[in-house]
Amino acid sequence: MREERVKTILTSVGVGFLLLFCLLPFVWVVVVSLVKEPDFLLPQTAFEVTFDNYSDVLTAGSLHLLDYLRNSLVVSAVAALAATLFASLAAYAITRLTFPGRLLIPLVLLAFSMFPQISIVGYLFKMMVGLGWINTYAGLIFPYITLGLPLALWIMLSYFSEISTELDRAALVDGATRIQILHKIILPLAAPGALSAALLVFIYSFNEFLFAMMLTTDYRARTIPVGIALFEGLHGQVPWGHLMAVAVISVMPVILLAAVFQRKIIRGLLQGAIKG
Amino acid sequence: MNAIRLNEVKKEYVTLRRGKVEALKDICLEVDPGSFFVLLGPSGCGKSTLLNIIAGIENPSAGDVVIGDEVVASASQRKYLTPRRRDVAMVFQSYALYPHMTVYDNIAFPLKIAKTESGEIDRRVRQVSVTLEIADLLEAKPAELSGGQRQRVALGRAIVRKPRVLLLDEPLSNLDALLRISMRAELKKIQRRLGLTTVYVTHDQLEAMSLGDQVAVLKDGLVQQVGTPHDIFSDPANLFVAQFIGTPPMNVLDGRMLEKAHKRLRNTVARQDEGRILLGIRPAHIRISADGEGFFDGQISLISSLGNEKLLYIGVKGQEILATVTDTGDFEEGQTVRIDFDERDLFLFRKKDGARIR
Repeated sequence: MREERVKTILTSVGVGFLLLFCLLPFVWVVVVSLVKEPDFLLPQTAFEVTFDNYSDVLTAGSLHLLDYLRNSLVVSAVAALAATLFASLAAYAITRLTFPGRLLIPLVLLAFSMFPQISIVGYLFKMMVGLGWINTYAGLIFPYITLGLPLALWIMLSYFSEISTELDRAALVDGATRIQILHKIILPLAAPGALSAALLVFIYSFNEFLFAMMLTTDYRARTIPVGIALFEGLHGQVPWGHLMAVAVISVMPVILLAAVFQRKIIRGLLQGAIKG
Repeated sequence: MNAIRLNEVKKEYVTLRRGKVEALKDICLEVDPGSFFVLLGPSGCGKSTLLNIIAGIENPSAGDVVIGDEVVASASQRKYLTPRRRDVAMVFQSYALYPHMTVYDNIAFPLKIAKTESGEIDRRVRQVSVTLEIADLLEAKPAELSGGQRQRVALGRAIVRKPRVLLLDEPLSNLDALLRISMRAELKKIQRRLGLTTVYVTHDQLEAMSLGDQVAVLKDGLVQQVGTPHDIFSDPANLFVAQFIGTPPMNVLDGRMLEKAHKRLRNTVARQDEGRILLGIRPAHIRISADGEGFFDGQISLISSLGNEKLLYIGVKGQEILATVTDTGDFEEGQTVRIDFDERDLFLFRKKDGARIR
């Protein structure tokens, strides 16, 4: 009985410490974004709550905050949808059809995904210049699809391989084409997998910094992480309150998505972990 | 005209471990329109592969498949019609119902794929569900159904579009014994009523015998015998068929066990070299007596009851002979009995390859 209690206490303390450790910076961000003076810990400064930081950054057109946010959402959403679509086509072929090199594809893709991003960014920049895609959505969407595809494919593979191929054969005899089978039978059954793949690619793309930094030049394509990093503020000096307000706004979409779909993301990841 | 004709169909696989494997060797079969045709064989004999080749899920390595008067697969012409163009339907061992669809949508699926008009779909789904007595389950999902109900839904999905040929791959083997027998009868009735040409794959010889108008026995990718259930039971082509058909299985004895000189066997066994033949006798054809006429003596090692009759295990010269008798009289385990049978009931096989000697 006493041992049980000690265990409970230790667990609670451990969890509490971890939570504090992980969340404190974020809490600090939120707090700073909500006060008038970021130096409120100094004795002569008053702790005064205000929403001015938010209204300032949202209304100041020269900051382009909303542009960055829109760019991020569009680029990430398109990349997530496209990566999931390609991954589901590939996963269907790999799990259902026989062709040479069938098992090599996911492994090669996995190997590619282990390349450090920095190692390709130089050439990627040249390529995008050649294509005229610098500072465009396409210039970000295509690299993001490539980056997200291995993850999406492995998640889809683990889901698809759990669906009996007898369903495919039944549908074939029922007259369906392969594309119809994928669309009407396999994808609906693997919907949780497709959803978690799409969400993870979305979050990854939303947070991506290096490519976005290199391949964009202004508000027409710049995404929010780069926007925050290059934030200059309205009046010269480092505008902590405004900066933190922007940070809070920028994490909202991802937090919302994660909150709504957290169960499914965890299921998708676990399945990948066990099967992959 | 035949409903289905298989002409020298072969199927080879190349596997990494075992190299080239011949699943089917030279299969020639003809199925009459409207008949119930059973492919019977032990697991691994190629019967499911053959069914898949008829359906178009797999392609033959050689030979032709003809359905009606249309060549649907021909290895020499490199012509392989897709399943959707063959107009065949199939029921799988696992039922393969689409888990995310209701019973209604499962049955309607082939019609929707064929872009049938929705009023017609509704009419036909309801008609089939009445025939199969699943009309009250149309809104249920497959997971909510029992094995027998899933079986009916799978069958409904197969017959709803009135296919030219119905293919069934061990559809009853996942059901429990009682249900299997009642579904067997029902399947046969439905097949008769609809007049559907049906090919049925099973490893269960009782199922094959009770369902089939014609039965083809397969082993190692070869057709051993084709005939009516009565034919293959009473006139087996070789030792394999003789042993595979019938419960309890046929007794097979070495030719040397019978005395060549026995006057009652003068016309059959005596003409053969007894060292090169095997003798087959069905358990039901064996008569035992305490001290009557007979070919040899044996000792009863076990009497087991099958309900209406008794199965006797009798040890004879190191071999075990099975005999089914309706009345054991006062025989007991351990007793020595005389074993007799009618020489007309004896089957002779060549020891070398199991071929029947007539």
